[in-house]
Amino acid sequence: MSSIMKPYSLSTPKIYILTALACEAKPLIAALKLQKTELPCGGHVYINRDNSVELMITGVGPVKAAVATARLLRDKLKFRHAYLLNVGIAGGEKPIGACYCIHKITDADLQKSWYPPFLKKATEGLTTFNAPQTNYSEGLIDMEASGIIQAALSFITRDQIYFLKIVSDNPSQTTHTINASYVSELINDNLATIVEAIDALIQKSTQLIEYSVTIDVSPITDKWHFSHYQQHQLRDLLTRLAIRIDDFEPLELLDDAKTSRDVLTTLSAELDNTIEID
Amino acid sequence: MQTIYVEKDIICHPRTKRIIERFGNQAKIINCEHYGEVFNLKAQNFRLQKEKPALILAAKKNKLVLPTPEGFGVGSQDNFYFSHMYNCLYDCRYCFLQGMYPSAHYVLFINYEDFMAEIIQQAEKTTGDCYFFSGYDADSLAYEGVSGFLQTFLPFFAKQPHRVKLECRSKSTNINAFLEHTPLSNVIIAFSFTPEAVSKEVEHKVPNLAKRIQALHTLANLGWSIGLRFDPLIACQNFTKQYTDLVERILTNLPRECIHSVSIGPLRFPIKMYQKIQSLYPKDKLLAEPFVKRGNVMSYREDIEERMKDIVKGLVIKHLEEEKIFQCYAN
Repeated sequence: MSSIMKPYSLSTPKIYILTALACEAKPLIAALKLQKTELPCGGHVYINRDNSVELMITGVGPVKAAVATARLLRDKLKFRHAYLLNVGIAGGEKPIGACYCIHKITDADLQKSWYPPFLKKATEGLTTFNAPQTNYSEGLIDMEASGIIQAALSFITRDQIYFLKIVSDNPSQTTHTINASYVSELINDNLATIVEAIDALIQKSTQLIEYSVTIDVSPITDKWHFSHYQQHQLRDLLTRLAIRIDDFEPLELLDDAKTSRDVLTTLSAELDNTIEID
Repeated sequence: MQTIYVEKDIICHPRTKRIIERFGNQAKIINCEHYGEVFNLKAQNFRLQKEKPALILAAKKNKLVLPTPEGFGVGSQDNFYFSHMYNCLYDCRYCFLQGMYPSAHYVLFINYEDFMAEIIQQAEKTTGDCYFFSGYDADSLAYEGVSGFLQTFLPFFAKQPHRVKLECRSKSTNINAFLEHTPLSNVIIAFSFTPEAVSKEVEHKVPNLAKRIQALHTLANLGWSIGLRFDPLIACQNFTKQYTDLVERILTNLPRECIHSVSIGPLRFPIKMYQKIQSLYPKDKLLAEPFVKRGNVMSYREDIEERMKDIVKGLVIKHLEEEKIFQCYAN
């Protein structure tokens, strides 16, 4: 590999976790050993030691969820390889404590749907309402998912957004039974599934990092002065050459170059030489 | 197939039912209102989806049959294309489909009868030969096991006048539908080829060259009309030797009377499409070649492109009359 290609290890995988309630987050914070970190713009997140997992508590309702999602994904260029996972409780005509990936999210007000990817076979559709519901219909119901996906789609792709919901209430055990310790217990009971999902998303994030290519232009820009546009040209040429020529070492070619223009001309000719119709 | 999205209006269509039954319990069936909800969303990662594409079953409502872009065609004035499917099972690094759609999921339009009605309508507006190209937005043969496309369209074209022609373009060896049908003089099976070493490097998931040449010879010997598409031409080391080997392997012992046409096409990407594809595969060797902007396309330098075309045309013309050789331009 060319020495100008930076190793992937300079980037770390990134998983953002969103929960609506502190009691949903509590078991995850403990299990993943997350540390509370204040944000410069106010509020806080919980981050693990290697900075690969970051959790935020959004508050209840689609608007709060959307605002929190946008704050969490604020640095989208830095973390284009990030995945997002919403973990939370939901109602539905399903057994209490059952855990589902969500394959379809419908906003009850907008009557609009989104189709996130899913990790495990047990999946359900989900409808997001603005207010608590006890009218359980087909699929699951919650108060955050549509807000999260709408906001997240401004920063990352649909293929990087996952939802994991645990049934907290159903027609025979409605919302009046829900309290903080009950919710934490439900999350705790499904901790193995949630951690497995996080591990799978870490792997996916690593894969996205491996797709990308980073070129170190500094050995050349330290030696010659390049305008902004020339830097763009230089990066493009070096990337192509590093991909097309094994062990490509640009400085070996540039002994006679006096100016940045000479550098670009030499590199461009070298790239042209990679094609020969004989 | 892990996931099948189905438009709710066609969930009871017999073709939908057959396809869903084919996958049994393996696939999760998810209803949607319109395929665009899943397929057209801007924020999608084509490359991630390409690793495990879902199938979307839908009905195409309008623009079922369209005129081909200028420069396409094999000798006729009236050229149309239709797409019963969006996206391909194969993963060719030069393919425009990578930059065409936001999603890599396969969309299969199951309302074949509506396509047929529009083909008849368009054909009635013409008097001479008119060509209907399938395989513009997907490989015509590769998904036959699921789609049953040819099983339905071969009997349909059998009933059309000789001047109304179907061209199926493919890299597949899945030729059973043709083997089960009497050869039709108005159906052309067009196989596209690059040299073996190039194919191995850039045509991912495509069956190997020997098997494709064997499939092509089988069909030709049965009397089917064959199209040969050296399109796109890819620059490679020992270009002349590699293309000589390719042309010889294909054309030696191929019955001349079965060759309908040969087309030679340069590699050209619309600029925005090229940028999108390159950002999806930033480490790809083909996409890192020294392409140049020529008008609104990215392509090889003109002298390189001309040289490649001349070499391949020179190789083909040794076997075939010039009238059957066409050049394709996608400007």
